[in-house]
Amino acid sequence: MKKKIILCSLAIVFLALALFFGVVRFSADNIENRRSDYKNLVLEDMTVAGETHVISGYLNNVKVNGTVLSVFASTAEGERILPTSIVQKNDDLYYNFGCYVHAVVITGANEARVEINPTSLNINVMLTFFIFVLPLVLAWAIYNAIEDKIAFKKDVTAIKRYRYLLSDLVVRDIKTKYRRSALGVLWSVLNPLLMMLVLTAVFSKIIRVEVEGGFALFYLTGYIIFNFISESSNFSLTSMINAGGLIKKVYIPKYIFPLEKTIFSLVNMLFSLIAFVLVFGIFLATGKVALHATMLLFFIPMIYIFIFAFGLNLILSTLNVFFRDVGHLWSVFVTVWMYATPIIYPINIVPEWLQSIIRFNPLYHYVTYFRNVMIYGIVPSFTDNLICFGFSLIFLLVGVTVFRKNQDKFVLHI
Amino acid sequence: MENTIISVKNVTMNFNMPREKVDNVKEYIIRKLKRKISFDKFTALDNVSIDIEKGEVVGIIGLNGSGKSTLLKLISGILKPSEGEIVTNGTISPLIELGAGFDMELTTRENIFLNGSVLGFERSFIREKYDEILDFAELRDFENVAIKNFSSGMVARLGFSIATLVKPDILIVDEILAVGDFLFQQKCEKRIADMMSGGTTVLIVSHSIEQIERLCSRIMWLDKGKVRMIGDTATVCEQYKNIQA
Repeated sequence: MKKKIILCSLAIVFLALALFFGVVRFSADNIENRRSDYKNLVLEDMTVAGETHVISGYLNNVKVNGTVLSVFASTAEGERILPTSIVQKNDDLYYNFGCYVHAVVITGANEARVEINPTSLNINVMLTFFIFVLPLVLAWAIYNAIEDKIAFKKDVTAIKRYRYLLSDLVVRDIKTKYRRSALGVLWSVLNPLLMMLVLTAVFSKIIRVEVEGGFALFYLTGYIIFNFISESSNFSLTSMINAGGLIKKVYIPKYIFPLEKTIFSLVNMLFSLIAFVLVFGIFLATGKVALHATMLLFFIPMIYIFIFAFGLNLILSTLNVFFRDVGHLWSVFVTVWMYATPIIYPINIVPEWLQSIIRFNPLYHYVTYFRNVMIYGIVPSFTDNLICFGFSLIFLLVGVTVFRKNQDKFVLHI
Repeated sequence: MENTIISVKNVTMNFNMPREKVDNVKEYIIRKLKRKISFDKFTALDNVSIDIEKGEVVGIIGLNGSGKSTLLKLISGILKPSEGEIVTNGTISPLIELGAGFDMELTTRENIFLNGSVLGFERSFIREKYDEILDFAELRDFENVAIKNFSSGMVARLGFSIATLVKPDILIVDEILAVGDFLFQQKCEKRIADMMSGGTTVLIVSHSIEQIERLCSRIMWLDKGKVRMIGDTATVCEQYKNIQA
C-alpha cells in the first residue's frame, strides 16, 4: 500500500513537470512563431554574396528563383545536408524542407544555409514529453512485468505455440469479410480507390485545397494509415467479447484476439497499398510525381503504426470488457480523430495554435512520416523516428500492462 | 516431489456476484460515489489442496454445485484462483466442453484445423492425423458439411477425437463421456485407458459412480467447495453412496 502511494505521487510529480515544461515551451514557441509567417516564401537573388534572409517557420513550398546547389542545416545534431524535395510547377522550383526551420541565411554563391532552431516547438515539446513520460511508463511496465515474472514469460512464449491459431483466425476473418461478394479481396483495393475518387473530386474541384503533389496521393496516403487504425480498433473492441465462448472453455492466451484483429487490419492495409501503387503509377506516367528511393522505407512507418495500434487495441479491448459504453463512444471519437489528423487537409491551412495541438496527435506524425517517404522523397530525421517510435512504445507498454493486469478477470465479465 | 504433476495448494475461488449488473460507466461512477457497488461473495472452492502424482487417475465427485468444474477450470488455466497456488508440469488437454472453438458455420474439415490450432497443435501434425480423426469420429461421410447441421453427439465425437489426438501429460475430462451412444463411450474409455497405460495423468469428473469406480485409482470428494474426503476409490465411493441414499 505504501509502495503504491509513493509510486503514485512520483508519477504525479513527473507528469506535472512534463506538463509544466511542455506548456512553457509551448507558449514560448508560440510567441516566437507569431513573428514569422513565411508559408509561400520567394527567395530571390540567391547569387548576391553576403545577402542574408532570416526567416522561421515550416518551410514548405519555398520558391527559389535560380538554383540552389546545396542546403545546409545546422541542428543540435551537427551540420548536415538538409533533405529536400524539389517540385517543379510551371517552370518554378519549390523546395520542401519538411521540418521546422528557424532561420535561412543565404550567404550567396549558390548556397543557402539553413539553421534549424534547436528550440523549435515540434521537436522540443515532443522531446520534453517523451523524456518525462517514457521512463515513467517504462518503469511502471517493468515493475508490473517483474511482479509476475512466470506468467509474463508464459504469455510471451505462448505466441510460438499459438501461431497457427493466429494465422487461422486471420484467414477466417478475411474469408468471412468477403464471403458472398463477387469481387472478394479486390474490395480492399477498390475501397480506398473509390474513396479517393470521391474526395478528390470534392476537395480539388469543389472545395479547393491546394496540396503539393496533388490531392489524390495526399489523401490516399493519409487514408491508408488512418483506415488501419480505425478498422483495427473497431474490430478489437469487440474481440474479447466475441471470443467469450472460446476463452471460457479452453486456455488460450487472451492477447491473441486483439493481436489477431490488428494483424488482420495490417493485411488489409497491405492490400490497399496496391491502390497507392496504381494511382502512383498513373501519376508517374503523366509526370506529376517522381520516383523516390525513400519509397523503399514504406515498411518503417507501418511497423511503428502496427505497434501503436496493437497497444491501443489492447487498452480498448480491456475497457470494453468492463464497460460496453466504450464501443459506442469510440465510433464518435474516431470521427473526431479523423478531423484532428491532417488527412483531407494539409496542416499548414489551419491556424498556428491549432497546428501546435495537432502535433500532439500521434497519427499526425505517422501520416507525415508515411507521406514524406512515399510522396516527397524526404528521409525522416532521427527526431521524426524518435517521436514515432516514442508514441508506439508508450502505447505498447501501457496496453500490455493494462491488459495483463486485467486479463484474469475477463472470464468473469464476459 | 519430483513426481508431482499437479499441485493445488490452499486454493480458494471466490466469485463476486453483483446484485445488479453494472456494465456501463455512468452506473459504475454513480455507484462508486455512493459506495453502492455491492457484491454477494460466492465461494466456489474453499481452501482446497491436493497433490497429484504422475500417472494417477483421479476422480472428482460431489453433488451439483460443489465446485468440481471450477477446480478443473482452475487447473487447466481458464480461471485464476482468488487465493492459493496451482502448479502444473506438462501439457494439458482439457476436455471441459467438447467442441469449444468450433465455428458452426465452417465444415468438418475446416473445423478440424481450426480446433487443432486452438489446442496449439502444429499444422503439419493435424494434416498427418487428419484421416485418423475422421475415422475415430466416424464422420468420414460428413467431411464437407457445416457442423451447424450436426447432432450434438456428432459434435462431441469430433471434439473428442481432436482433443485426444496427442498423448498429453495431463488429461482433464469433465462429464463429457455422457454424450454419444454406448459404443462410442466404450471407444472413448478405451482411448483414455490407452493413455493411462502410457503414463498420462487423468482427472475425471463424472456423476456416473460406476464409471469412476472403474477408471480411477484415487478419489477426491468435494462438498460445497470444501474437500470432504480424499482417498482410495473403494472407501470414498462407499461413503459417497451412503450419503446419497
